[in-house]
Amino acid sequence: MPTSLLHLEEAVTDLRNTFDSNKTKDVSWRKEQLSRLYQFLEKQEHLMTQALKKDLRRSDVEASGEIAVLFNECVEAYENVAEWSKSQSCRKSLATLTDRVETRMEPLGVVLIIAPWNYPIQLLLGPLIAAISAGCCVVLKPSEIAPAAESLFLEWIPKVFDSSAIRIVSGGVRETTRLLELKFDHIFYTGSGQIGKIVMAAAAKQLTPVTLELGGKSPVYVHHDVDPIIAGRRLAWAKTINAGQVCIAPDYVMVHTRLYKPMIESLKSALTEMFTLDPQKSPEYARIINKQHMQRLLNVLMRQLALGHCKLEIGGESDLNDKFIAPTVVSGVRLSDPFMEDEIFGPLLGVIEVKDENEAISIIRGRERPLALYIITESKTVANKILDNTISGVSMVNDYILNMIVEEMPFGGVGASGMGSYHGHHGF
Amino acid sequence: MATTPVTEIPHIVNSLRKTFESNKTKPIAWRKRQLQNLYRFLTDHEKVIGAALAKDLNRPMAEIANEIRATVNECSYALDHIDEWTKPRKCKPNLALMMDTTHVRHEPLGVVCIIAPWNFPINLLFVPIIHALAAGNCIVAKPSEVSTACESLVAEWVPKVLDPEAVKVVVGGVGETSALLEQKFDHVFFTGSPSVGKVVLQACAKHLVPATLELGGKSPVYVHSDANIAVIANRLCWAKALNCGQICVAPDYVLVHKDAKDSLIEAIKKSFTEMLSTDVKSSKAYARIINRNHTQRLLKVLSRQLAQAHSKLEYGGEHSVEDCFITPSVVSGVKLSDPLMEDEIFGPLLGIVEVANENEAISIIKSRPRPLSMYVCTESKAIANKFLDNTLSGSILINGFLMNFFVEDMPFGGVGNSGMGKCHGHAGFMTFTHERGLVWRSTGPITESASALMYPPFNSSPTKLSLLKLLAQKKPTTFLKKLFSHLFAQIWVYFKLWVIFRAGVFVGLEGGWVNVVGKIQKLLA
Repeated sequence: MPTSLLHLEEAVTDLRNTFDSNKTKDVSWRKEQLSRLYQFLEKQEHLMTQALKKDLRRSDVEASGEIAVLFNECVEAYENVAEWSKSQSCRKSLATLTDRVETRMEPLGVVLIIAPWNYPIQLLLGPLIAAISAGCCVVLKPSEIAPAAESLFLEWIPKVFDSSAIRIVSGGVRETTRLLELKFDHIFYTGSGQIGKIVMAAAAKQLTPVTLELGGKSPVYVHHDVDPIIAGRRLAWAKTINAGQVCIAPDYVMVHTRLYKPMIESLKSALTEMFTLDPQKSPEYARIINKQHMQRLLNVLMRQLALGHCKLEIGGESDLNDKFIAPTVVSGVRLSDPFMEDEIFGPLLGVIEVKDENEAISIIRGRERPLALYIITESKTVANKILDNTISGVSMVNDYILNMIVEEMPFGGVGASGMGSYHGHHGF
Repeated sequence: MATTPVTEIPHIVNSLRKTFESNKTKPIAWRKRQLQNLYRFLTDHEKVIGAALAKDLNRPMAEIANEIRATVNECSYALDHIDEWTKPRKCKPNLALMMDTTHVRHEPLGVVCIIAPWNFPINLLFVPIIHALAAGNCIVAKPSEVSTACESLVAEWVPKVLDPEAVKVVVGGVGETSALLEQKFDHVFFTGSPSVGKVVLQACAKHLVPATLELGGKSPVYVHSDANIAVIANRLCWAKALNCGQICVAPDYVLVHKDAKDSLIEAIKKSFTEMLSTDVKSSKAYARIINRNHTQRLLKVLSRQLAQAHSKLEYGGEHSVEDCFITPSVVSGVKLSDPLMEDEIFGPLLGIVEVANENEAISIIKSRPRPLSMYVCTESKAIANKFLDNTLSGSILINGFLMNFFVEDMPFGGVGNSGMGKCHGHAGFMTFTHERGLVWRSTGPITESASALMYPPFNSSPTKLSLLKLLAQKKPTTFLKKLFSHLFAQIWVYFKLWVIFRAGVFVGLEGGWVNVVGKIQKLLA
């Protein structure tokens, strides 16, 4: 049931009044909200696991991974908010010797958090933790494309948090458009670059600062000096989390000629090990969010396989009613192929053969700045060459995605993959 | 001054991108050289720069020296700290990543565009340039076409002082600036008015270009009944007369407690007269308005204001459009809907609004867009804290004006309508930097067995899940845990000191040195 446009406006007005009352500036109020969130996560974890199962058929393990990250963010914020919100003294000069000179940490006011559907719990509550610790009032807009998570939040957010300061609204394009016309002091958007531009344009009209956590095609380069078994396993794991629907999922992989065939073989055996020859039966393998995205992925796959120069190595099976696509690896992909157009955001992996790391660098540079960059090599020289000649939101050597669990590491994109960052103190 | 042809602008940006991709600007030595060259230019050529400023703004020599000195200070601050700023920042790994490297690299964003205004055409162009260079970026510098002497100076000297492959100057007006904003930069740094700020930000949104906007607005002053009137009046008049009021953080209007109104007005008149004499026009200590357009704009506002029967011209009012001259003009009895309370004044006109008390002042301030700066004049901590806790502004000063601009490690920037992003010192460096997280994982057997915990299938090993949870999840620290870790840290320090002390005693007092050498000789034999 979408929130009425009138209610949207009222919510923002109410929150502004609450902010003006200085209620949220009190550090103990912020800690109280965070501790309520912690208890909610602890007691109602099963509800969240159920919602994720319903929306994405996520396995219990993956679901608890998403929630564990939230636990850690919550604890980190709770323990440090007092420290973070302290004023910072500045170095005095001769002119200001007898003065008090400090930088105060002030909450921005009323902020809007728009979450996507792929990690509907983490990507709504994570930014919320940051906003609460900073002392802001928050309007939460969960994604309507993940309906079970949305319903869960609509029921529980008012129960868990102080409604005078934290409100949840629901709806689709119409409601989000109206929200973007209202005045916020910051907008935090996670989603696609296309919509990111719309959000920023709307915010620009009112000089509202934004944080945009976008995406793009995150490349992998595999050098010839690695053990293909380990490399294959890690890549297979990273590509199949959430059925590939992760903003920092490895999107396509460039493999050095000398390791090309072993890498493909290793991928195949790793995928078979993890999901058996009948992945649809594996309880660990997630599903695509909805039929629309299924069609999109099947379309890309079909167009790709229609090209004579590539080869389907493993996978390709699908079941539209079950929203299932098997982990699929296509080799012989070329830079102008369908797989290399938009962000895949699904369990389809294109493999490109490259001469060496220099070719990989020029391919990466020829494209938009990615959110994540993965370099698989035992050589410090090769890794540093790639790091020094490219830029990305985050980067990892020899593994994937784990940067997300390092609290002191800011997470955010650059260029087309986004602006601004969060996690830990950076979120604050 | 010949403007940069609009058709050349894409080529300029492309060549800067090529320079950036060649990694020329990344070595710290290159960046230091640029900053050192800039430092030498600002100090050796102070006279030439001063002459350009004098020509554009007709400013007293002391004010000119201040603008240049502030720029020089930012340059030396950056040179002093660049090694520290550019070092990767280590991140505390958690249990799962114990054996790995986790740090944040400070990467330059790439090619950035810096658009400067005319009121401090040297400082507000070169300070962002300093930080963009310290961060390793290539730069398009766009000086203001309104301050023409400085524009020519910049166009002539920047290619000589800074590496012309990495820093280019674009000269022109609205047409050229629009053409610039159609290019895809990695960051745009704009200083100017909020209305143009919106245009800039909307252009940036088309390409998802992040922007820092140093804007402005009406910076209010509140004078409480207990304020030290004589001192406040001096400071207020100094701040208002500086650069003829053409400062983004100039005190725009005064809200004065009804009990202090009369004494404040008298004190202001006295202060202005002392500073500028009764013949302001001949005073060497007073700047001029930038050009006739702005002089006419200001005179229009003033005459519309004085047409209001309820307001009174307390001081000033003399002017000469030809000389771009308006004396500091103080008008009392101003009401909230009056002309002086509409747009940012950006000139030497000061409106005085009487308020009943601080609460009225706070509600007036809150009903208006968030200002770039705010000034509260009172001797009472309670009153000052009321403003601190109930308003928001880019910066706030108690009993002082403008000084925050000169504190290098205080980030300078607006909030809401007065801007977004910040500059000065480390904040300036970070504006032009991308913090790129890096996790470097080993492929050794220990790490791989930890990784393997995460690989499906899980049904075959239920212990995997509980082990994973143990490794990954934090529990809130209990009081005992905190106490223990605090104590442990202390004990560790003392233990180390004790070891050193004991070793010293052994060697020094117990004649242990000879014994130690003897033992080593025996071992080696």
